[in-house]
Amino acid sequence: MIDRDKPQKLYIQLYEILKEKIQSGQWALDDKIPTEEELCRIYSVSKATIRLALSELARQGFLRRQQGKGTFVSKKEGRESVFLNAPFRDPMLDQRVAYTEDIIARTVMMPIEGLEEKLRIPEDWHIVYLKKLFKVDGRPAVVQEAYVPYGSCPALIEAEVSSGSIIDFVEKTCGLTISRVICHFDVKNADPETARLLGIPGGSPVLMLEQRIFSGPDVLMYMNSFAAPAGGGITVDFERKS
Amino acid sequence: MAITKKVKELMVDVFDFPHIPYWFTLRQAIGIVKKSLLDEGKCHHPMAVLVFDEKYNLMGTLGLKDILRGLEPKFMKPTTKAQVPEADDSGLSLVWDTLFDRETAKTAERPVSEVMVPARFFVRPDDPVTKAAYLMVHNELVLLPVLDEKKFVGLVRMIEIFDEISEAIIKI
Repeated sequence: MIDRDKPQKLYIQLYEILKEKIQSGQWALDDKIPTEEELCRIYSVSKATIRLALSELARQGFLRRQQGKGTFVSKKEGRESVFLNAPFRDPMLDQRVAYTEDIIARTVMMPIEGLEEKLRIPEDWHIVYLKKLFKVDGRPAVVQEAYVPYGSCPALIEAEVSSGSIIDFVEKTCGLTISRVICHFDVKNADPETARLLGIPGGSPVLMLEQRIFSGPDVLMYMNSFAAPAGGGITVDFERKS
Repeated sequence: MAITKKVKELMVDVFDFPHIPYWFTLRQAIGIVKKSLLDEGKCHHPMAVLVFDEKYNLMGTLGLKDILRGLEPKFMKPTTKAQVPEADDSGLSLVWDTLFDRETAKTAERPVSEVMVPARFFVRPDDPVTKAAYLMVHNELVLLPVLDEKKFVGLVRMIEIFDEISEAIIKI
């Protein structure tokens, strides 16, 4: 059962409990699991905690959600991946290119549009929001938006962060270590504000790099970078360690 | 009667209130009020959201009444009355009802900066509580920001101000 005296977050404890139910077969393949309300009662935790645990189980492939029907146990595919040790750089611009960066916004907000699930935080937590514009040869190249739970690194809003890697700042100032980065590339149509900053027509296609940066089980930062067409692109530099 | 307390003894932490940047829409603000305050059962009175600029300077506050006012169709806003009798505006509520879907969907996309109460009055941590009371009463405020030098460090609420002054009155 959930132990509130443990330092481990409640949703992580609940995630482990429910994962064990699936892996032990107590919840069989295609079984419908209890509703969020029932799980709230069973484990005496808030709906936000239940949602965070279920979201992570769904993301990991243990559960699937069917609109209007409920949540079901799913088949977890075994995936053997090739792991590479890669130097992680922020921003992901070609390091041989000289660039400048400006902080456009640094403020505090509440999670909207699913940010709480991406950051695995309760809905009422404050988030530090940072927005940067990178320029190559004086031309706008990348717009970067970063979201960091305020509680992870309050110094991010209090200190003077004029330039440099946000990740470096968080690691050095707040003593947190990055353990994992998940990158997702996509092509999106630029919203009016991003288009304005990049100097391109609204709705133009831009390359989007979505990153979730972990420190242990916690999501330290969620970051989106939008690269302008012909803006130099985004570079991912992998390096196999011997 | 002596009210000796200073503002810093009564102020509450800024992080007791939800924060949003000024470009958020009313629809997004409503979602935050619902999730952060109503659904979680946190009735931190007065229910209000703090609105900041891109440099984390406080721009204003957004209360439930401000949100509802912002959702009203534009033509329903009261006009400056010249020498005409007081009109009974309650009938307008029926008009809003009929236009709710169409008009309110549009007004919900307005940025919060258009409907917030701008932060124009401030107190300092070492100011007397009576100064805060004066500013709140004369400017119809339920929340008053506290600035230390230029840094926003907290808020004083009407409830604590009232409590402090009423204590002093009772002791007379």
